[in-house]
Amino acid sequence: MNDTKPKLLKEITIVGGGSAGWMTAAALARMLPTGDVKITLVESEQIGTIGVGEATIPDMARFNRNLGIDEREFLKATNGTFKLGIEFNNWGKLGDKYFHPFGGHGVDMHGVDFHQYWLHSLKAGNTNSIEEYSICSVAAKHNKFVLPEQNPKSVLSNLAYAYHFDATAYAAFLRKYAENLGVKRIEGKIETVEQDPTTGNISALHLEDGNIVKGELFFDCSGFSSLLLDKTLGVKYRDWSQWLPCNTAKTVATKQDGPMLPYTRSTAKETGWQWRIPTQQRVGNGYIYCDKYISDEEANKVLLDGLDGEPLSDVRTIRFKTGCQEVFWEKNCIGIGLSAGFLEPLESTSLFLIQQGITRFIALYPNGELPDIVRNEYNRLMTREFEQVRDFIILHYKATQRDDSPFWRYCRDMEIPESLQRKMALFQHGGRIFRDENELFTRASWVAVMLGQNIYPETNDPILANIPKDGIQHSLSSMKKSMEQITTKLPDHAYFIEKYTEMKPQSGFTMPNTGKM
Amino acid sequence: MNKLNRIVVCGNGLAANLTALALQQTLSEKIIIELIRVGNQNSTDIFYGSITAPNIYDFHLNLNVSEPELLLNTNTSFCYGNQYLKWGMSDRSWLQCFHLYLGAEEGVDFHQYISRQGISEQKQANLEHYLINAQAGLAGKFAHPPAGNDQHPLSRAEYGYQFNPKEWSDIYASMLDENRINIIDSDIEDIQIDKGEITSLKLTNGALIQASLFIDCTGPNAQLLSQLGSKPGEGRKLRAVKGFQPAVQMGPAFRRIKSFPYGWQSETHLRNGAERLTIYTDKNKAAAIKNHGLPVIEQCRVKTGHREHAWLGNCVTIGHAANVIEPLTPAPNMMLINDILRLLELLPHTTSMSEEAEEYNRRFKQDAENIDLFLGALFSFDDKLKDSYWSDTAYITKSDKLKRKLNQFEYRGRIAMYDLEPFNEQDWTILHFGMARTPQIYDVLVDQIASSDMTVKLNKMREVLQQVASQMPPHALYMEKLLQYLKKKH
Ligand SMILES: Cc1cc2nc3c(=O)[nH]c(=O)nc-3n(C[C@H](O)[C@H](O)[C@H](O)COP(=O)(O)OP(=O)(O)OC[C@H]3O[C@@H](n4cnc5c(N)ncnc54)[C@H](O)[C@@H]3O)c2cc1C
Repeated sequence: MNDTKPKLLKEITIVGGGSAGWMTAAALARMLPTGDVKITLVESEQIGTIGVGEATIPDMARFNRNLGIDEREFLKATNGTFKLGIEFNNWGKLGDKYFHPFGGHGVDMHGVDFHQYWLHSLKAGNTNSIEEYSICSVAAKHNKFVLPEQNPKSVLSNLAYAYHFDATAYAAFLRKYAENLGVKRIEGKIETVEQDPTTGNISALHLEDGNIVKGELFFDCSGFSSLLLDKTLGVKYRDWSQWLPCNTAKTVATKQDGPMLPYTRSTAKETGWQWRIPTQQRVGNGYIYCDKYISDEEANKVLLDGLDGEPLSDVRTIRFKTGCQEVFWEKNCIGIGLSAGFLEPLESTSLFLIQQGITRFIALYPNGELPDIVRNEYNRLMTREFEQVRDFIILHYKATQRDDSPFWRYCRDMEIPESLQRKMALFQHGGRIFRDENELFTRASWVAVMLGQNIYPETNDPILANIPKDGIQHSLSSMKKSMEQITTKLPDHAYFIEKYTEMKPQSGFTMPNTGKM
Repeated sequence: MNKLNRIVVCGNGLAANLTALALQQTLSEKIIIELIRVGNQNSTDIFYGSITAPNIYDFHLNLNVSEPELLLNTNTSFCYGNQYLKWGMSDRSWLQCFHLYLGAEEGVDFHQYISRQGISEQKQANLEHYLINAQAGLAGKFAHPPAGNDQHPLSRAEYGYQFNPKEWSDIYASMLDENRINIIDSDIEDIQIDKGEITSLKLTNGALIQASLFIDCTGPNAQLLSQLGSKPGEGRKLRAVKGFQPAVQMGPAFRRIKSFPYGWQSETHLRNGAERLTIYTDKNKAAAIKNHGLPVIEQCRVKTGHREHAWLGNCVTIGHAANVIEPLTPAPNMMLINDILRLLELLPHTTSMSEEAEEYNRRFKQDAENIDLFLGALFSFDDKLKDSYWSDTAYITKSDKLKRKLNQFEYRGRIAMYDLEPFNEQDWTILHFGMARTPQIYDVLVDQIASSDMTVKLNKMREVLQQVASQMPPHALYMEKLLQYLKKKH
């Protein structure tokens, strides 16, 4: 048996103070044993942050919970609203509309997936869409919101939600949180990065003002510039633009007027798509497109024409290349956030991938020697995570019947990764979902997008033939009815937020003052 | 493309009867099911082993096979797991029990605290002290987990069964409804094949059988699938003999496995006595038979391993016809259940079934490889005997996936898992500790709780578990009372 106590890391240095940097700082400060490790974060106000990233998926609530952050405080600080899913317009065909809800559809019965019942019921004349059996979709459509119920018998136990919020405010909120837990922040622009001549490890950051920040383990959260991972360590980038050709975003915020919708809207345009993300005071808008098919000026026009409120500022242009780094952890540096890779925000997954990067690191928390065994495992897990999200996003482009533009014709006809091809073929054939256990997107998500984009199985589950059609119809009707009934009783989304954030924080929570909570 | 309208199951043993029963209970009347009792797989059915994992319970329930019925009509007994006694002729002994989630403290897996204790005390950490069913099992006790009380320590104890494959096969057969399933007793004389699909079976009784889908449950030789060009798997040849020692008093709620240079011997504690199984390689036959010591009631010789494809054309294999697994763990039974569930999920809708076959084969391979990881981990240790049984195990220990799992544990006690492994995290944790694998370092997050505080907590936990175990009834007595009650009720 070896040494009795693991040799510990003494210093962690984070480069960047966007969402990635402060989420990392906050989580490490909270999770690592108090006082054992010194955490420093370097950021440059002059460079600033990307400041977008307003929509999330339900895992975000878990992240905040693990930090002990009260939901009300979080919503107040970030102008947050609730999100029950995403409405997709014009994706399958022009004029199509479907909802990708969080939480599942209906209830599985006799070991058979709910969507199989629904497909079966179509033959008996059922004209209701599958989303009418999802409490998230039904509530979203009526602009209602309430927190899920614990009682598994209640329809509301199937409700799952995420948030829309102001990303800059979230970073500021976490900054305060992390600084209270002892994270040291250094303001300054990094000019050069010093490497150990023998190991190639990063040893220090040289700032513009002459300050030198030494370190043992570095997190590269420097955004698209990928200062450490790419620029210093020369890690190669996996380019996925053959499957996800969009490479530019135009963004602008508008005033929030009209109802506060509890969902994100994604509308496919001729050469990309436009998002609409409602926070409490404003609405985030953006147009994601491929500059090969449309000029920047035209793109500006598309964005502005698609707004439903007054722009609050000028339009910003952000360029990107879809893909991820070949390794996320190289030598003594881990890339998290945009420096590690970027997948367009169609399913709001970037903050989730940041979260995964952090939790995987904590789960594998190494000793001071940073052995390969930990690094390799981290890289394996994160690569998988990125690839799984990638496939799900590609599905939206591939499963289109649109042929009104060269962009959509390209997407419809492009070759796709084998992993996705199998998933689509299996569904198309018999409505079955290819199983992958720890995948982020659940069966319900795959079903929602495939059916929403008109992939209808050729044949139906034979086991269903045993169950009388009337029985199926009856079960479906009563599910639908109970969802409608309960929805009428739910509060309006804006009203719920107002009342909820007025309530006192739940016991136990405060912003941390000193030490660990 | 025609609708699937007729399914033929071939075989005469555990796999065939269970498959036929599962089809009977799930399929629409519109699909005709036939069972052709081909050959007899009683002897090779030894390789389904004699214990099951807890998941059999729900599987049975879905087929209307209830626990009372099993207990009343067979010599089945309860099973907390497998005891490996001096495994590999070393000092590694432990009860590989079935346990629910072991829990976490401050977000760190429970076992990490035990690792820290072991590392700091410079001795092998013992997880068994903190597992209620290991404590109860080793004390010869058994009781069902208390219903509706998930605070009670016993609610964490899962159980499977110790069983006799022939008895279970007969129970399943007795539940087949002859009005629903057409049962034919006959061997196969000839198999007609066209373009990689079976068109018909000519039976020795003269009948000609056609179907949309053929399910091959004919045991390791896979009489049907082998005609479509499938080759057996790449395992090793093993022999098995089985004997029986009647007993007045039923043994404990676990199966005991002892190692010998020629292989191993298990004692399964059934209600009417102990079944002894000896597994060995060809080279050590004399020593194995001598040591077996009981009259042989069943014996066979098989090659272990899984086929490349379990489904070709319109023929799918279930059980041994697809994969023979050494019955050292409950894996053979787990795999049989998985085969059937996979089939039910992917049962083709029409006669065009290549999509289903492809997905079935992908999942089958994944399941088979994952199961082998667990078996491989039992043979991954350095001080192995030179005898062929122990030394010829490279086929199952060389996998990179396994190495990764072992390295991750040995470095920092991390339980690395792959997608949909049949053995869960607890199984792996208990196995690593049982095999005396010691992490180099423990998870630093463990230090959130001071070692001394944790020791107090652990000692308390140990005391509680010992106390609970001491208050439980002996396995035999519990069974006796339960049967009295069930007899009255049924
Ligand atoms: C168009 C668009 C839409 C998006 N929408 C969503 C969404 O809806 N949902 C979602 O989850 N995510 C979304 N994202 C992603 C999300 O915005 C980012 O993942 C997230 O904000 C993390 O960014 P970051 O912290 O990695 O980078 P940034 O915010 O760019 O932060 C980089 C930091 O590094 C610092 N820095 C860089 N170079 C230096 C230097 N030389 N010296 C000192 N400091 C330096 C900067 O000052 C800054 O603090 C979107 C992204 C884009 C581009």
